[in-house]
Amino acid sequence: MSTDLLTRPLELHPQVALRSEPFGALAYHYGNRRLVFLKHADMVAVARVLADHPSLESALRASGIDERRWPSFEKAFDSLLGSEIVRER
Amino acid sequence: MSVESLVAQLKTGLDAPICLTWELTYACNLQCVHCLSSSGQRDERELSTAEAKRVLDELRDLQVFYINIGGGEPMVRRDFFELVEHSVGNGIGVKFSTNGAFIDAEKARRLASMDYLDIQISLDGVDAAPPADEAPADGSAGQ
Repeated sequence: MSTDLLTRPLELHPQVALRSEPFGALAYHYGNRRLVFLKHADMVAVARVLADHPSLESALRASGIDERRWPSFEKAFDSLLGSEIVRER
Repeated sequence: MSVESLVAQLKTGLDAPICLTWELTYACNLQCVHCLSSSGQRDERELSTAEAKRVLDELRDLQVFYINIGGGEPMVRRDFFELVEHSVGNGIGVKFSTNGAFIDAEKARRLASMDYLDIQISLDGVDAAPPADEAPADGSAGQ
C-alpha cells in the first residue's frame, strides 16, 4: 500500500462519474473506461467530499467515520487510486 | 459489505443500466449473410433525429455511462455525427461498430477529436475480395 495515504490530498478524478445505487455507487472512468463498484454508502460519502479536504484523514473525520474503520478505508482508497478513480491533488 | 450481501442487493437490479446497445438504423451499404441483425434495408420506423435526441436526453438523466451504437451501418444516417456529438456532449460515452466504408480523412479526424468515443471496425476478410457471404450493395470491395 502507498505510504501515508491518510495524509495525502485526494480528489475524484475529473473524468469519473459517480452514480448512486442502492448498495453504494458505481464509478465510471470515461478516460480508462473502468467501472468500479463502491460497495458502501460511507465510501461514497467520503469520495464525494475528498476534494473539499486537505487530506483523506480530514475527509474521513468530517464524514463521521470511526477511526477504527480508517485502515479499511485507507485500503479501499488505495485501490481506487490504483484504478485512477481517485487521484492525488 | 460482504460479497453475499452485495450479491443480494444486485438481485434487485441497478437503478439504471450501465450501458445500452442501440441499433440506430438497419440501413447498410452491405448486405452480409452473416449480419446479426439482417441489416440492409432501412426500417421506416427508425427514430427521427429529434426522437433519438430525446432518448439520449433520457439516458443522460438516468446517468447511463455509455452506449454501444450498431446497426445496420450507423454512419449511413445523415445525422450520425449530430447524434454522437449530442451523446458525448451530454456525458454519455459512445462505442460504435462500423464497416468503415464512410470514414474518409476528414471524418477520421472528426472522430479522433472526440473524447469518450471508441470505434470498432469489422474486418471480414484478409484481402480486397469480398467474402463469399458478403454482398456489397454498391459493388465496392469487401471488408
